[in-house]
Amino acid sequence: MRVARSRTGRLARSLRGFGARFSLAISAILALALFIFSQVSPAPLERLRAAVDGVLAPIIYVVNLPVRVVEDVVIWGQDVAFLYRENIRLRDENQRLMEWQLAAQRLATENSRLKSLLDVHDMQATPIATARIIGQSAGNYVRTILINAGQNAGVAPGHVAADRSGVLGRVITVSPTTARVLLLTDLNSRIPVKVLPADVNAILAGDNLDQPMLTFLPAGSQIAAGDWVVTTSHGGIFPPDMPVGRVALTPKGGKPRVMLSSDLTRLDYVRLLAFTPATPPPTAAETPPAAEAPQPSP
Amino acid sequence: MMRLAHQTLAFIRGTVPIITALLLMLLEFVPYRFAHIQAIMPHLFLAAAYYWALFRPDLMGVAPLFLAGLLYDLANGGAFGLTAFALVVMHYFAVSQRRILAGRLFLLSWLGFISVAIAYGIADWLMLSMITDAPVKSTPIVMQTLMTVSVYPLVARFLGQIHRLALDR
Repeated sequence: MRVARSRTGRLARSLRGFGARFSLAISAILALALFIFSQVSPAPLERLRAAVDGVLAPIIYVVNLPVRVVEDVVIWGQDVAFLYRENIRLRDENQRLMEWQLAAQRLATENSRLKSLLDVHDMQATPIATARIIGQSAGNYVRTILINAGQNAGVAPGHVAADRSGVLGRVITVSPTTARVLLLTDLNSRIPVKVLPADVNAILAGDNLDQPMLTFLPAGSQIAAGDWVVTTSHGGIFPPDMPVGRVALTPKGGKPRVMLSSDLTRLDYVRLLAFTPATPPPTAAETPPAAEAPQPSP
Repeated sequence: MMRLAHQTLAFIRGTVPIITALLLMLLEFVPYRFAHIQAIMPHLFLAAAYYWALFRPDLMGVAPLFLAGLLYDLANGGAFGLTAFALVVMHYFAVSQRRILAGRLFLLSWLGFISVAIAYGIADWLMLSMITDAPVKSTPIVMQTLMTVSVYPLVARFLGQIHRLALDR
């Protein structure tokens, strides 16, 4: 009797072991199959990703609340500790900014006067929304952020994300309430830029490190550390002349890298802009009749 | 009636491992305002998955781990299916070496996790290098692996408390 029972026990155990190994093998194969499928046809996956983002966003927001409290306390502590030194620095900076403000005002007036003289058709970037960052990617594969504005707020893939210092990236997927922004540092990010003052076009390519690279620079182009990098409207993705960053010191033989203007590691809010490339000037049929046009004052 | 309540309670307790693992996963996705934390964010989810696969494989089976891995890949935007695959392999390792790793000596389970994290880091590096067609800089991956390995004792302690309180370890 006991022998029979132990035999059944052993049989059950080996069956269970077989079942466990079988489900392990099936899961492993299924995971690899899903990976290959996602590489072959990424479209359904992107939709699924957007849906998951929409569901996870409020949960991440709640998880973030206690984290924010701790961060606030630490940041407050840091602020208090450096109050005196910071005050001196700010006063100094304020002085310099006042001078810059005067210069900027003068240049802005001059710029608009010259533009109206030359009849320049400006390429407009329309502000769509300002959104809060509610999530970020972890690990080394991707550099993306999740923001709390989506289709309902008019956000669409291709919209430009920027903060007050410069461009951050562009929207890749949207759900009704969230959008995911591919940062300039991501492996898959390639944007057309211009290096000033040399006025050289290049492609800013991310490789998941903090400073993206400048690639496709024309041979012999004269660029130096500290040069400004701004967007160009080539390809019709970005509005022209938005600050991206400055050329960083390049080690000998290496590709020049760009120190981004905005600090991607401590983002809080982003602005979303829609860019419509320049529309051709209105044709004769569309221009208002001469009688309605404002008459030049005598 | 009592039986129903009992069953519900047992069910809820059964979901504790997966819920805590998911919670730690979400902590990886929270936007931190401290510089550079994103690049070296420890892989908390991997630590939790390992802990539960080692100590409660009955409650953290292959299937929930596989699904959680898929969710991680979806939410993180990485290569879809690869985290799920890595977790399944990790589960096999943890369960097959359970006699050695899940003993009284914490150091052994930590060593087990160190090998899991290193293997994960190497796989990460290989995969990234394959995608970019060139060997990528290994510093961020090394840093992340170091972070992951060093927070494991904390994660294990935290989950150990939950294990004791909710699951009568």
